[in-house]
Amino acid sequence: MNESAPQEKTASLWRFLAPVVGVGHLSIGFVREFGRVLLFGWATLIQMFRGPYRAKEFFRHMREIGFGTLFIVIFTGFFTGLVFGLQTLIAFRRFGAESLVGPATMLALARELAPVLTGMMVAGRSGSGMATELGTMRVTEQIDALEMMAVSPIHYLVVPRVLAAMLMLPFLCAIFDGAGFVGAYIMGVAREGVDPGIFLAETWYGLDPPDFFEGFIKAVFFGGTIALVSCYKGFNAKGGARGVGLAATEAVVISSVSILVGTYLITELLHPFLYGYIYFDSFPQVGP
Amino acid sequence: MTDNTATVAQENLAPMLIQVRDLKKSFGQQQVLKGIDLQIPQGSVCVILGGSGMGKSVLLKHLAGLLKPDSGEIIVDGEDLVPMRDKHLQNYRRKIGKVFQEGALFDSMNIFDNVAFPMREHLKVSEEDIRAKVEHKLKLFSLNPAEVNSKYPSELSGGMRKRVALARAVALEPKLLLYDEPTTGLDPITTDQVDQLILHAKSELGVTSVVISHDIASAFHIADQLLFIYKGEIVVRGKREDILNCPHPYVHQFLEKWRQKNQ
Repeated sequence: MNESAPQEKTASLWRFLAPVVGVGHLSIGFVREFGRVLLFGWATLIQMFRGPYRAKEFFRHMREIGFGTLFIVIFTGFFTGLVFGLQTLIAFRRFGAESLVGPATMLALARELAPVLTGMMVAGRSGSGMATELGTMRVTEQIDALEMMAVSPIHYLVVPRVLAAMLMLPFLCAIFDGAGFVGAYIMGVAREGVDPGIFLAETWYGLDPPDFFEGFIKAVFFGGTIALVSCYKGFNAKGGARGVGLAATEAVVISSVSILVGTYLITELLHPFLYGYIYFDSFPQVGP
Repeated sequence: MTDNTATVAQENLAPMLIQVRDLKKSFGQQQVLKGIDLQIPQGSVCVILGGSGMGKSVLLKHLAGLLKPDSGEIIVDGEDLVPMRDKHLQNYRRKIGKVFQEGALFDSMNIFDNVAFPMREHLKVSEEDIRAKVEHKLKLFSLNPAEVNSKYPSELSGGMRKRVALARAVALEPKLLLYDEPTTGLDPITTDQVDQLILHAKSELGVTSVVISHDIASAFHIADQLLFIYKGEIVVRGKREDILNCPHPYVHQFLEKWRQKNQ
């Protein structure tokens, strides 16, 4: 009786601490996985500078990512412009500022919505495709076969995909901007009767090149992240069809979350460089 | 370990292509290889038999330079693999070929591109030369280039995929071919064809072959030297008779089950 009392006490303490232990395990798992992705990224970066340069593979993936997601990017961009234009109109009408619907919509699109939503579309379509393709190659030993033929799988499979995604995302982002602009124009001019000249002039003068650069820089990072995470997940797929499916799902989820976290971090980092001259010079001086 | 006094390797006067000494490997607490000693003469076929999870594949991965041992020596063609760094290992792998269980052909490429792939990666020759070499390799394994060149792996039967896998494995004219359970899941006729292909690669190309298998009939058919691995140790080595007369209980049980199945 006396011996079992301390054991019961320890057991109940462990039960009490179980949620803390669970959180600890999750945190360690997250840090370990994050570290592995970083190492995978490092290996990819090193292989990027080694020959032979696989132009054919690079263009093939550019085509797959670019043309593969083109329609859905135009579609998403158009409707985002349309709905964002509508919401902006509803809000701006309260102040009689309907003519500013163009620049307001385009600012939101160029800086934030275009890279984030383009990234999400590419993650959903191309990212899942990359994870599935590489996952299937892993479980059918095709990646091992590459290694046995003295060909680096990272050099052959990952580098062209990462470079192609980094290059294609800004183009897709620009197309999203264009489609969004058409949507906002239709909403402002065709539906709400804003004068076309005023709409265009306000948009032209309301936007600066850095607004677009911010979106394009984000798109480059998102492209790299999506391809890297998707390739990593595919590379580490296990256990047949179920494992490949899981890898594709995880690739999309992790890429999407990374895009949302990344867009905040990049915005914080970029603002002093891109907009410093606008904000810090033109802020009204408050105080005595 | 039952040492049959003089191993086949020692009886053979051919120079040794592979020499493995006291190879040990553990994964965590589990010791998978417990001091493997192995000698394989040039131009011979060595079959490593054993049940699932006994260490056959791990041994093969060591020979391919895909795993590093905890201790021991692996000398292939005069080179010690253990201290080799990545770049040297890449060079070493150009001298060996591996035939995977399911072929591991690239399903995004047609048959021609599959066989041409290692040549395009490592040989600095013109596309015409590559075409000639690919067709030669395909013909070596009784494949008609005009018929299969433009087909994709999914359009071929299991036996034909094995032939293409072999043609790709010998594309760079390796000294050593590693086979990972080449007859598993095949019907008896295709199994016999694969056996013939292994013997063909030996006689036509002079390649040394290491085959891991649990198909005893096939092993007896093709092997110059047989090894039986049990729990990370070689329990018997030699010729067919040495395996059949081995008193080790696991080998005995293994053979008994095989006999019952074939009755």
